[in-house]
Amino acid sequence: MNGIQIKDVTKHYRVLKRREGLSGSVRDLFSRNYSVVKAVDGISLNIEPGELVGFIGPNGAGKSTTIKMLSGVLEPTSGIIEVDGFVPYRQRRRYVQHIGIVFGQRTQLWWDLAVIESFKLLKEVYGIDDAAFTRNLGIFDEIAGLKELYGKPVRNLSLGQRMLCEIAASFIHDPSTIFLDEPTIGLDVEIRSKVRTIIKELNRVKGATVLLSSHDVGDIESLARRIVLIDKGKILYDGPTEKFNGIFGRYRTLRLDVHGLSESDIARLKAETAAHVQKNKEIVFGEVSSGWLGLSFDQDKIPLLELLTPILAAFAVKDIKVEEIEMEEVIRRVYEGALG
Amino acid sequence: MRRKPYLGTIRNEIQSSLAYRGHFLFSLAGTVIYLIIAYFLWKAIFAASTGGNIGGVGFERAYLYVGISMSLAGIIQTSVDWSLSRLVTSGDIFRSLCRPQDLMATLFAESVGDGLVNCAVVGLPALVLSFALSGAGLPDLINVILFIPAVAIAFFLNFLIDFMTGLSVFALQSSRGVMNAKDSAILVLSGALVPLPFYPPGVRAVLEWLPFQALYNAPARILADGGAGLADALPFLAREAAWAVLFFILARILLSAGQHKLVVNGG
Repeated sequence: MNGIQIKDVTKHYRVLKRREGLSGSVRDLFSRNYSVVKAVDGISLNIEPGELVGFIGPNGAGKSTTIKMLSGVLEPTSGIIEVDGFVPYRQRRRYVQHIGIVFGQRTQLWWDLAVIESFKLLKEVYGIDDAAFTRNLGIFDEIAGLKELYGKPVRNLSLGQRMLCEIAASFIHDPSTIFLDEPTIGLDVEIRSKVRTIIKELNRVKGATVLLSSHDVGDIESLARRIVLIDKGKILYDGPTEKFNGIFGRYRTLRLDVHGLSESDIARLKAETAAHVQKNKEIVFGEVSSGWLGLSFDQDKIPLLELLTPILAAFAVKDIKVEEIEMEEVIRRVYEGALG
Repeated sequence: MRRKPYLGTIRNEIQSSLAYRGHFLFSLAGTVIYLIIAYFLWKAIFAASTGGNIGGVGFERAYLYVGISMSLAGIIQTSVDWSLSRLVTSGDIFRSLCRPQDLMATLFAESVGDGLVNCAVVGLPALVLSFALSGAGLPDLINVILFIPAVAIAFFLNFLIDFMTGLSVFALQSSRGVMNAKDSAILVLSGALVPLPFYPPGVRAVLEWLPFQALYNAPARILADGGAGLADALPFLAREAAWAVLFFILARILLSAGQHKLVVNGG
């Protein structure tokens, strides 16, 4: 049991640069332009056995590529990866006996069969003994009430129900390390919290090392004590979640429905609001997208009402939403030194 | 290698196939319609021939070849080329790769599961219908017995050909072209479309040494050309087996080369 060690790992893909249009596609048949994409660009990371680490970053940051390399599916271009004493891509067949994997966008269950049939086949694939199998099914039922799903065909499950089963399936052979790649993608708030619960509880009960990737800051905040932030293949932050939270937990994005406002109205709204909170320049306006104008602010410095009241008094805003800070905003602020 | 997971895979695949009843109904209906059309087609061809035979082959035997080939198609076709290439292009291949299972053995187990169901639901009824329509008598017991290993090897050989066709996706990103080429080659060179006895003797002699005839011609000949028994069947079985061994080795080499090139697509 020695956790996960990643040292100076890179993964470069050769990607065909496609020319535009029909004539471009025809020319692509004869001559090709490749460019190299550095999906992972020199990352180093040590994770202790039993730790639950959150791996966050925007889409395309290199999270999935890292997890694929850790699970032995991809070979790193350079660098060293060791998980529990195995080199994943070299000893793949023996190694995968000790790990569990969930890719949020894919299913590892048999589409046409009842959930329990998939579990039974996994029991045979991993050579799990009857006692451990029954005990684990009991644990899954206790934590997430899976019993009622066991008899249903996978294709008839909702996305959330399926994800609960996928996560349970990844724990079924008592692996020492689990990789969860975007397990909450596309789920609504209620089921998302259920998924978080099952991950947290299984990590606690089973003591497995868990690396969880997500582009949802909330997932990581509620699950992981340690957070690794990655962007463009590089690690931007690796440290306690509290510190990260302390800085980004205060930020909110206020969204205003400006469908009824003209361009000049919106410009005036921006100017007046900016003037109003001038003393601390902590608000950032986004672009108007599909009729909504977003602005992010630090709610410790500017109370929401103080920001909102003058806007609502002067402009015909139809609706408002307050959201947690977005990944892109976090990244921007980190580059500006917010975590320094 | 532990066998239990693969037996479990066969069982799951059988259960998955059985989940779609309508599928069998239409496969069987399609096969029956083909057999009936082929019956009238070959009847018409022989009616126009002089003396009721072509190149020394009578209607009964010609139709049996066609009918058995059609039944065999129902049994040995695996579609592993499609599924493997789809697994790679969609990235779902990760599922096999992140389990302690061998990719080729897993796909073979799935094919066996499918094959057993197809054999029972489409292959056997089609065989019975072919014999009934041909007007030939029942085959000799020894030929029926020899037919079983011939079909088993043909199944394995066809799996290997399909598997290697699917593997071309590693080099080409899409195996559709290779698949079409393979399908055409099999259709023409195996005796599935036109029975081998109708080919000119020179061409036929070459084809009998190629792997494709082992898929359709060899089992069809063993079952349709009654009387000769073991002595006649043995060279065909031996050639089938030799190709299977050769292709097995080749497939393993290609697979390990392909897995190094693998890029798992998608997020």
